[in-house]
Amino acid sequence: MIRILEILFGILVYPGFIFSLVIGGTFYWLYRKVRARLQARRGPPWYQFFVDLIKLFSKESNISYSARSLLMVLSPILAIMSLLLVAIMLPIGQLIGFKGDLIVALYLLVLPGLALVIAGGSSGSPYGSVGSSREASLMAGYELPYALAALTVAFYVKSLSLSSIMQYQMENGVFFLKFPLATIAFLLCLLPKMGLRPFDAPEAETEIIAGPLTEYSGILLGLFEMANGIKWFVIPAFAVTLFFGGGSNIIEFVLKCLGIVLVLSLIDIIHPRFRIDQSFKFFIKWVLPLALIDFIRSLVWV
Amino acid sequence: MSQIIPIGPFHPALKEAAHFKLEVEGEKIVGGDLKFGYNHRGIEDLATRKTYHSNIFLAERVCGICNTVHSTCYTQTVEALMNIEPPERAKYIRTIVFEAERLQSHILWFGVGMHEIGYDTAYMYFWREREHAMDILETICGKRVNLGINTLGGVRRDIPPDTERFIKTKLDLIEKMIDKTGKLVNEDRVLKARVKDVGILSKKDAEKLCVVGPTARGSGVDIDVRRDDPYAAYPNIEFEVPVEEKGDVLSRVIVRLKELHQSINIIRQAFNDLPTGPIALNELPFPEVGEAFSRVEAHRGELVYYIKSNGSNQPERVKIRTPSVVNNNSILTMLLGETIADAPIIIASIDPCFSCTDRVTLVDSKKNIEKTVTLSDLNRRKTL
Repeated sequence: MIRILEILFGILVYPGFIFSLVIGGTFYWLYRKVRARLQARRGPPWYQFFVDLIKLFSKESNISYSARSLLMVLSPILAIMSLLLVAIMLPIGQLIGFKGDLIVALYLLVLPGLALVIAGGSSGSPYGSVGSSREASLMAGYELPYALAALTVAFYVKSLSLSSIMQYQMENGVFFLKFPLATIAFLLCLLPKMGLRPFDAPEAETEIIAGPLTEYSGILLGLFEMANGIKWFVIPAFAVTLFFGGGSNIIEFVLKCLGIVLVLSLIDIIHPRFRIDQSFKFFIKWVLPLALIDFIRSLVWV
Repeated sequence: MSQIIPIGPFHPALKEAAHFKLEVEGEKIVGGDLKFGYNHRGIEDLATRKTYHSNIFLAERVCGICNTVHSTCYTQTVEALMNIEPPERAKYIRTIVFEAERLQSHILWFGVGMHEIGYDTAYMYFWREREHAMDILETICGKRVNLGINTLGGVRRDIPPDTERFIKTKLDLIEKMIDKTGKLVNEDRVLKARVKDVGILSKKDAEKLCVVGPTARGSGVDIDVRRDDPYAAYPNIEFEVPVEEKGDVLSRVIVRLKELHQSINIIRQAFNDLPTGPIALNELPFPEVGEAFSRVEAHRGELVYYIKSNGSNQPERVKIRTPSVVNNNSILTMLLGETIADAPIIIASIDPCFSCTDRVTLVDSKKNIEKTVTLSDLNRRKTL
């Protein structure tokens, strides 16, 4: 009974919903602020993300007649739930830890992207369907190097558990130095996962308005915004766990996440948007070989 | 199986209302249709009910970004009807304002173009630098937009005597920015990947579709009214007309970039040779019965005004042919075979200006039934 309450607390408060939403929302604000300052703009105040959420939740959701309403309602919930489950697997709260949780986490992290694909496909709008087909082809490009880079460290440690990967790094130094190529490949895959330039073709606002989210409004859009906020914490946190040695306490861990967020923001700011075929080619041509080199290295050489 | 993707009438990529119906297969554009007419304001008709003098300000409001272009062309046409010639100093001031406006228009276009391919940082940067060009316009004309500098037989304001140094420092700043931009266009590989070999308009197509301005010059058609049929102070000024052969978006970008250099060059020359004397004629004759025709090289291409006079103080007919009218027809040729992702930058690459384009009203009625108002329809309506 206490165990169930603990897990519920983990999902809802720490390190789940409230904690990751606050930290992720702050990271998202930071990205917007840095972006604005480097573009000679002023940028939003720190509470912008949260008041946006409050506003969206006070509005009505419209679902058009041509939409598949069940899928349209379920897809943001799918995105949020999968991210929260990853959050409680992270070695900061260590609520659920079992052998093979790395594999589960990798699968769960595919779901936010998949939720976007479902959202766009079910919304019944041509922009949505173009957006979701772009998201799907982009996923085909980045998921393979992403998983390969994650498995590199798992093969090296000979364990599929996140906590033992972090434990190993605590004792023997971070994997960022040991597998720099895999780390770079992994970080590049975070860009499309978080919808950042140059790989934000699925949400290119000058081409297809908001892509998969074009038809969303009110609470449903608010849920997707929420998923986006949580994403800004969980996805960098996963990278920190795998390649940057986690943290001995939560502050160190969050600071490392902050570093990754800043690097990704800078890449976003200085790039225009790739076309979808160019993005796909980029991942197959450059990122996949990077991940592959370190993967083979972890098996035979190191 | 093809699918219809609508771009517009309201769309983040469009700054004004226009409708592009793109027929796509996956991401590839296989067909399309353009519809304009959302901004029709009846300016040509309105112009026949106003006096020649108040029409200057009406002409300026045809387009916000290129307003002096319209008023210059209008005043030139009326001056031809009146058989008068403005003083030399007025001609030079017109040239300076004209080119300063070209600076701000092209820099604005660079910003918009960058935004269309998702390069928002460059977009903000360009629009910040554009303020220098706006400052020049403000010191000369006292206003930033709708400059109101032209009048019949001259200009309304002289260049303030102590502002020459200020304007020259601003020109230096803009020149520095252009050099940086040139470097960006030449070196940024991601940017190049988006604009090179995209939206090709071959020289043959360009000639067939009669495109004008930077769109034509980007396709290797060497036309420029400033050189071919000089007006204002252009006969006395030396400048080059940049021409690129390839006809893709990149070459239109490069043409505009080189034109910025030429504009700065022209403004500097005009300041050096600025003659002294009056800025406007004191007395104006009545326009004679007859017709006149004048053209200028606007920022988007050749702009044509035709005015028919019946001897009164109101024109009988004013016909405006803006460059976007002809350039818009080339969009479809460029779009076919490209992807949706490239559609915004291709549409933006001709720098379309819809508010000065709209002249025939097309009615979209309920659900998928589209009705075009034909001439006979219009005639019938008039009689009803």
